[in-house]
Amino acid sequence: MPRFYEEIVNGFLFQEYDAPEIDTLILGLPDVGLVGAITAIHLIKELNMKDIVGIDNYTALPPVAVIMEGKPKLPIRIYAKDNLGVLVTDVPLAPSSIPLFSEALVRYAKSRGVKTLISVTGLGNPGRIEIEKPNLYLIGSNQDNVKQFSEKLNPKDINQGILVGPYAIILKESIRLNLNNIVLMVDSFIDIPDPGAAAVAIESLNKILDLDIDVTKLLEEEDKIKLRLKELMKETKNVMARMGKTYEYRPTLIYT
Amino acid sequence: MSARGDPFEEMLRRIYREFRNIIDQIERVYDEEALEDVFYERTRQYSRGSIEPLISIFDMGDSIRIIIDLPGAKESTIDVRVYEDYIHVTASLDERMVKDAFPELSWAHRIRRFEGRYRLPARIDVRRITMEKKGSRIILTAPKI
Repeated sequence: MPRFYEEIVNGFLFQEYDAPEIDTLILGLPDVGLVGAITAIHLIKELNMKDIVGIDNYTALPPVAVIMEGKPKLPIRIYAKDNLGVLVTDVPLAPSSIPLFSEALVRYAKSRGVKTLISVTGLGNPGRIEIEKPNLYLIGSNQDNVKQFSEKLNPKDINQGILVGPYAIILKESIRLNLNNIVLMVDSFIDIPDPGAAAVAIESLNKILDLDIDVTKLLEEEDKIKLRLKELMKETKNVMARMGKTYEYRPTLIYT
Repeated sequence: MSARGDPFEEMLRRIYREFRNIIDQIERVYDEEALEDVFYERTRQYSRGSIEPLISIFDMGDSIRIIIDLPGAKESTIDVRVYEDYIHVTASLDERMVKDAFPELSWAHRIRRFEGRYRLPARIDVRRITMEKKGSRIILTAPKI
């Protein structure tokens, strides 16, 4: 039987199969256009990363065990290689479990010495079909960090707006716990998986993390990826509607 | 001894409360009705060897824009029928693409086509519709009536 260390944070079980020594943790939760999830899958494959942490909550997540290469795995997993970690989930987080999970994740990351959390997501753009190369936007918990990354990435300005979902809580909790959190957002289709937007996110990660991940295969296999992720996109769309994602498509109360 | 003071009954009540609490939490995980819909929709489609394409519908004011995504569809088989208040889409899927996308799911290898019927948010003028294709996406734009 495999041996592991367990810790429970906010009711979420974190099961470690290997001691995590992660400096930067990239979060690929299912969201708009599945941009984060597609980015995470590509990174895990290209870097040949190994899962070292499994995350579960028997009452807040659907009762699932994920079977991979004949072995049972927990539905949310952190993969790692060297000091880089990538978080993925096989089931979308239900709206009721988002606050506790997001808070638990930030606390766990902080306790394990993670220095930077990078949230990757799509910024739903109804005009995405006309955009050849999607724009990148950047916000973060630490403005010095945002400035430093902005110099490398030259993102488009995003001065006002509303962020909804797990990444909103992760950002607020990171500020509370003084942890660096960068949110990379890319123009994306809202409810159609968008590998093109994920490619832009990966190219940005290459620049800020000194990686050299090729996106050619991702773009070549775009149709295969979209076919495989179609049902996850449907489930995610359902969750997005119920967690108030619609707030992202209206202006803030006060404007400048 | 009254029921109120019965320690076994009190214990049973407490167990029942805990059990109810757990069930309530599980039920909250996903909207039951939505999950039921997804379950029946998926089993119905898979048993017919089809899957429903993803579609985005945008209300552009005077017109409606519809994006239909058909990854892996054989181009010559794509059939989009547009009516005043709904559209119907069918297309055959490339068998190799299906096997590549779901290598580990033998039951999925029997999926042969896309099929979906979608209600539109407003009535459209079908005679003035425009259509273009970008990669696996079909874009329809039609003025409202």
